[in-house]
Amino acid sequence: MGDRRTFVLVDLALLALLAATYGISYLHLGVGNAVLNIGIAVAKAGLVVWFFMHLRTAVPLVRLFAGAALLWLVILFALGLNDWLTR
Amino acid sequence: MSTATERLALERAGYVTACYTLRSWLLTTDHKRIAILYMLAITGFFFIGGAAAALIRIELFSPTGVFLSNDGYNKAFTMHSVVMVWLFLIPSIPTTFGNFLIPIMIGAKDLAFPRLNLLSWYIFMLGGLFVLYALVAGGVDTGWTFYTPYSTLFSNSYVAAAALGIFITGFSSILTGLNFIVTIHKLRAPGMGWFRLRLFVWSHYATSVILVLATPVLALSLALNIAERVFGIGIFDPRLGGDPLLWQHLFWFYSHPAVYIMILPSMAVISELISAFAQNRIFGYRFVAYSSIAIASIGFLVWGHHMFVSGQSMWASITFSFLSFLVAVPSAVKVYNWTATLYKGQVMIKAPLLYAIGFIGLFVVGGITGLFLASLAIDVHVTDTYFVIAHFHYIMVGAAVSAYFGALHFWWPKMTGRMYPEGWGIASALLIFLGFTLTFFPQFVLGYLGMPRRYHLYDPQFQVLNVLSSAGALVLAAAYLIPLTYFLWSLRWGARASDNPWGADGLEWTIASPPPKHNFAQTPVITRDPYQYPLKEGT
Amino acid sequence: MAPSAAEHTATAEQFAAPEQQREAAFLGMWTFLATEIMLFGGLFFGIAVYRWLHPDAVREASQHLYKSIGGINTAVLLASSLAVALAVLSGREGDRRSAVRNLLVGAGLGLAFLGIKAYEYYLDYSEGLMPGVGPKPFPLPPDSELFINAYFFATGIHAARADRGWRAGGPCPTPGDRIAAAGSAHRDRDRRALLALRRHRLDFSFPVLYLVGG
Repeated sequence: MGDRRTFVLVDLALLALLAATYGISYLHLGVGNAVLNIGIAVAKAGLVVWFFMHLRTAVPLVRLFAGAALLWLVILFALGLNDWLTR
Repeated sequence: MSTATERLALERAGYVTACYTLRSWLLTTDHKRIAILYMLAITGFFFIGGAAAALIRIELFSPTGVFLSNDGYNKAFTMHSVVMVWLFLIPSIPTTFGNFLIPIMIGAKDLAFPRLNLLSWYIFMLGGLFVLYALVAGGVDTGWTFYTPYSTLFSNSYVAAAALGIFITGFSSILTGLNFIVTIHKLRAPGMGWFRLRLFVWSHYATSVILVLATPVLALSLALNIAERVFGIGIFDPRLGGDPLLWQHLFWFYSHPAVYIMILPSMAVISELISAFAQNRIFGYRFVAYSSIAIASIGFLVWGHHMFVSGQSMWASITFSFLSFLVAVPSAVKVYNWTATLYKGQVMIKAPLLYAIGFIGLFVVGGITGLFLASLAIDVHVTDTYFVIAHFHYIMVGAAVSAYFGALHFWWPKMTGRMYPEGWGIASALLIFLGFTLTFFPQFVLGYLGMPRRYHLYDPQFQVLNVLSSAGALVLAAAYLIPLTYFLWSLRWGARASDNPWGADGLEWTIASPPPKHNFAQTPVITRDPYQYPLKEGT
Repeated sequence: MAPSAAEHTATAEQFAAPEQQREAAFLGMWTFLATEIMLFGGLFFGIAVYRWLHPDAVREASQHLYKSIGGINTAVLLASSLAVALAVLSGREGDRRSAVRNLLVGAGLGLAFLGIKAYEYYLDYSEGLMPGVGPKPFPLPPDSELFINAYFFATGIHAARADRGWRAGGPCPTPGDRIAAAGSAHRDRDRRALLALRRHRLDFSFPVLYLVGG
């Protein structure tokens, strides 16, 4: 089954990303660590949402809802951190 | 098993007469009955919050106070604000008129999740009970904003019970918003495109978006607050390096959009009232519809204007100030469009229209003073004074409560099948406007002169204005009791309402008053746009 | 797929067709997920602020947490997710036996997750990291306590929801269960798909919580 293989592959990819995060935490790259971690976290979240949570096959409206939640999260972070970063 | 004719009779019976037992009400999944359950609950909370307001205003008759201690005064204004904001204003129009009317207006039999709707009423009541417990057990003295570290580390009052109550009611809001969103997307009757929806529905959609996206952040911040207060888990504690402004940011991320949770449903009502009583197509329908969405979205970008003097960075203040000015644009679009709808209309002066016109006037004053407060320099001068109190009461009482009363008069015949006495209706609408203005206009002056909020002892030079305001509050209290009386009276002695007593356009006016249990005998098919005035016979 | 007559009769009265009901339930579930994203988003925002205010303390605290245990546990959760996702697939194909088997595997792994979590809490407790309980004094610099507290707050909720997740549709009607039930009282497989959807959101908090230190 194609779907079944996709799920297993996605799960393996997630495990690989998990291992990568773990490995990175032993390196000392300064700001690089944070950047890589955030990047990996976003990639993992994206894989889970896109495949496991069926956003890949969802109607556009459902994708819009997921996107809206993401956008509002960006609003909270951007305008909120806008205070602390400029104090 | 009932026979076919019995079943037909049951189908035609109004939703009220379908069954009379208490059980049939408490376990109902009918959106109309749930709306009535909400209405009973929030009417009770309105008078509890009103009683606290009466305590405040009586206390302020004299510069040296009348009968409250310092502590008692703090608890009175906190209880007034907590009850009014979360137990009356937030649920007021959406859970009653929204619940009752949205399915009918879109040609549906019910909301998408009727049992979830009932569950959200029970959640609301549970949260309300916690808040009432906090009130009876000894009160809360933090103000409705629960600013840390006072609320978590120092206050000796029932903060946690009140916060838990609000936390719980938050989930009721979330579920109501979720239900409306799914219903409006999925349950529209055939032919009911987005631009054939009533503006009432558009505004409630926008409100639901705020309910769903903002309320979880409030729930989280209250949970953190409770964790710090009850379990001593330091979160905002400055001694550990925590930042109390984190609380303010999280709190206002919800609580500023919350103002739009109160005002967008009011705007929803006003659009309906104006077009029905001007017998006119709503001017610029699409602009009014889009402006609801714009208000809901931009409303999320302005929360920092509550924090101009809090120690927030100057750059952040400038950003928030600029964004706050933006939100005035869609609000103004609505006001201009309502006014243009009245122009050359066949205006009928009835109580609901008086409330709508009162709304427009008071909303404009409240909105424009909001622009004063969005300006950094003026805000520094009037922060935490009665100017702010007057400003937000113009929006939250002058506008939102007027809209609630307007809706009550407009849809009362549909909900109960009875007419209220028109003369009394007009008289109390005028009295509410007068009482309101007398109460709150002097507070603008008081605040500009420098009288701070949340004090019950004040400089004698402010007494004249305070006495005027308190006298106005008594007028307002009496004016709110008159409709309560005649609405109850009308349930038994009011004239029977026809299906469409106002000659208004809309699906709810095509069915019986009160509506049958399943709203429509057959799912309606929509073939035209809304607000087609003058109404043709048979439409 | 044409709805059978049986499905027609089971459609709730406010819906015209089972397909409409299914879509409504899916949309409702995603709206519910959006509210959860905002709820946890607020918490992560708080953590981000403290990361900015106290970079060294937060780094030290996050290095101190049991990264290995946390990593293993996330792997367990991922495997459990895969099992649930496969169960949904089997359900869709009508293979009931395989669906049940996969669900049981998923539930077992979910329980394992809770067990490991409990062990991890026990280690934290004996070291004095848990807020309010256990030996004193706090073993790390004082300003890292804020991050540790936020961590316990977040993982506490996380564990509570994993518990709900493995019971997938147990007797306690949470709002999510209600929506799922509304969408599919008559169709087991839709119900499972919706609950699995709720379950998957658990998978991505690990990186934020454990490795925010960077």
